[in-house]
Amino acid sequence: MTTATKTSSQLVVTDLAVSRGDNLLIDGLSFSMDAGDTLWVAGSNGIGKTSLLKCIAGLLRPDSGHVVWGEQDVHKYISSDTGYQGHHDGHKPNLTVLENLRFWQSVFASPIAPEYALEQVGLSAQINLRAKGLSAGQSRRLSLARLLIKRASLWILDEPAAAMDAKGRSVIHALVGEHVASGGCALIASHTPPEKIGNNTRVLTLSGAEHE
Amino acid sequence: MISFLANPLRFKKFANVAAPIFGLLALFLIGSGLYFGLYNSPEDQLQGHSVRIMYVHVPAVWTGMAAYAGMAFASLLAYIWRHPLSDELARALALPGAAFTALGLITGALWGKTSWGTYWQWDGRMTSTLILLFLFIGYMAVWAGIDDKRRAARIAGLVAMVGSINLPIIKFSVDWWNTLHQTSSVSMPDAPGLPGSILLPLMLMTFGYTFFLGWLVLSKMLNKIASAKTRRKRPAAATTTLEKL
Amino acid sequence: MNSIGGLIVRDIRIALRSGGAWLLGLVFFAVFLSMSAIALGGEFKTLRPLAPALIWLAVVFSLLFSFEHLFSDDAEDGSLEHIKLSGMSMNAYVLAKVCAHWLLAILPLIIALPLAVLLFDLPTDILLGLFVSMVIASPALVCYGAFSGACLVGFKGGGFLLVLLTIPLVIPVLIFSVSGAVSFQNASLFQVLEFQALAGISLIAAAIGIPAAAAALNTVME
Repeated sequence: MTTATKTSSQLVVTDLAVSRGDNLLIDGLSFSMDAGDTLWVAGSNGIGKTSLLKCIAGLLRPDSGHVVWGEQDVHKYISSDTGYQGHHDGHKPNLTVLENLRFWQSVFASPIAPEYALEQVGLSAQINLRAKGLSAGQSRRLSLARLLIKRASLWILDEPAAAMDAKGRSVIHALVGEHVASGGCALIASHTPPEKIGNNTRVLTLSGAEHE
Repeated sequence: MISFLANPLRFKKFANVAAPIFGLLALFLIGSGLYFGLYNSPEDQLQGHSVRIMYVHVPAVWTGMAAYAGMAFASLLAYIWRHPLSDELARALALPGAAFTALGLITGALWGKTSWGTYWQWDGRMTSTLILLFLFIGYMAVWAGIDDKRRAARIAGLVAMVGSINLPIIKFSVDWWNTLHQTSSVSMPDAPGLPGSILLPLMLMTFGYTFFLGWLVLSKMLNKIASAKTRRKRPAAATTTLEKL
Repeated sequence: MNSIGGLIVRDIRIALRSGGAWLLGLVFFAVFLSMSAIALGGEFKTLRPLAPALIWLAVVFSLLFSFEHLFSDDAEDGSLEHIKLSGMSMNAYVLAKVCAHWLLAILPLIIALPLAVLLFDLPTDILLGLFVSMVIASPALVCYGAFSGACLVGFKGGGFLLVLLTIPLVIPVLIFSVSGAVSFQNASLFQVLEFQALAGISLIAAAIGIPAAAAALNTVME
């Protein structure tokens, strides 16, 4: 497994076809992103936003086409320079907030202190609370803290604002803004109206055929 | 041969011709094998007419084992090249393979009743065959239980491959375990010394079963290809638009 | 290496906070042995020759049911995706899970062996034989169990199928372990043919089971 170098942070998606079961969700999708770009993915439920993001992260195998991030095909060599936040938070309910993050810090071999990341997302008060005691919004914040600990250049966020209050949403925007300003890329699937973040913000809209 | 048949269209052409030929060959070989085996072969000095069960039993067990080996090999090909036809081949082999293994066990039990006096003995060969049947059932249960067919194919393939690597170890351990408590096992005449009158029906039946297996598998795969075509009508993909904010 | 250690520590910590659920395998082991003794009439004379086989069956079954949730928790709550994206190889992940599971599921059984032996009034050399056979054979059990567990992630009610998939693979383990525990009485450790066979089987199981489990997990995530 290789870590992409920061100098070549370009995401190139070529002629991508993604399906779930027997349903072809996305066909012939091509685009590219450079450092500092933000891309919102919009579309109704079941249209394939999650599958698309998973595919770009390298977690889902496409029917055809390629996703190249940092000059490597993510479906041949999974890129550890990708920070992904899916629907599931992946926190262990019986570990405390700090213990959950410490574990990820050891897995990511990151120098960032969990306490610092928790402060950034506004969870400092819950540091010794077990994760099962967190509200849905707080749980999403903890996921954001994990994202910060990972320090990846490409952020792929699947509905990061789900279950979050207005304050939480502004925290996300601030963090994404900081991330793209420092040369990162961000892909965000969201139901909230897209907002301009960074210099180059685009919206990818999926529409038409809907699958249950 | 393998790469030639990997193309679904060429495979279909081949299977359309080969399946009926295999079927007819199976009919002819099994028919003549049964004639020679059941009527036109010598009785055993000790076992009398009951030795004739052997002509149904031994080829059934051999064909069952061959089906498992074929299944594991097809799974390996499918795993490396991700070829759906190979998965279908492995899957199509499972049920007939299990049926031949079960036939081997049932005829083995009948043979056992006439020669040992009991339907079942924990002898090495019977026990290994029983475990082979368990492996087949596990493989089929994986296919049946996983909804996503792509995933089911790969998981079932792994199960078949791990099972096939373990089969020699299982066989060895069961044989070794069997020597701990010597049971009166039926003396199966060694193959090289077999007189032609026994060898001929044995071979006829083995080839007959094999062609029968081939006919079953090819027809099943042809069915699968046909039904896959009607199912292919997938909803169109979403249209994507990219605009700058 | 660091992350393997981290995973093992995490799994043990989670198990210790599960309200004792990790000890249910041990309870099953005790219940299985008691039920067997009751069903067989409770006479030491009849129980003694059967005891090594019964103890090994109890070990195998109490383990088999423990593999159902070995990977499914991490797969279903999304942790596995983050582990894959961390660049940690699936083989390393499976190895860490297998080691943690050995500590949580097999070590308690090994520690409970003397009690099991007491239940059947067995001589000490049988206890030693059982102990050695468990230590040598347990890697094979965890590796094959992990493989089946990985295959059946997301499979509802996979418990029975898991047993069906794993049993054929562990039959050699069962054969050599029971026989080895008995023949250990009148031989030295390295002379027992069964233990050599078990060591070989454990090596093969680790070499096949771990990569196969990793491949199954990769498939499950795709």
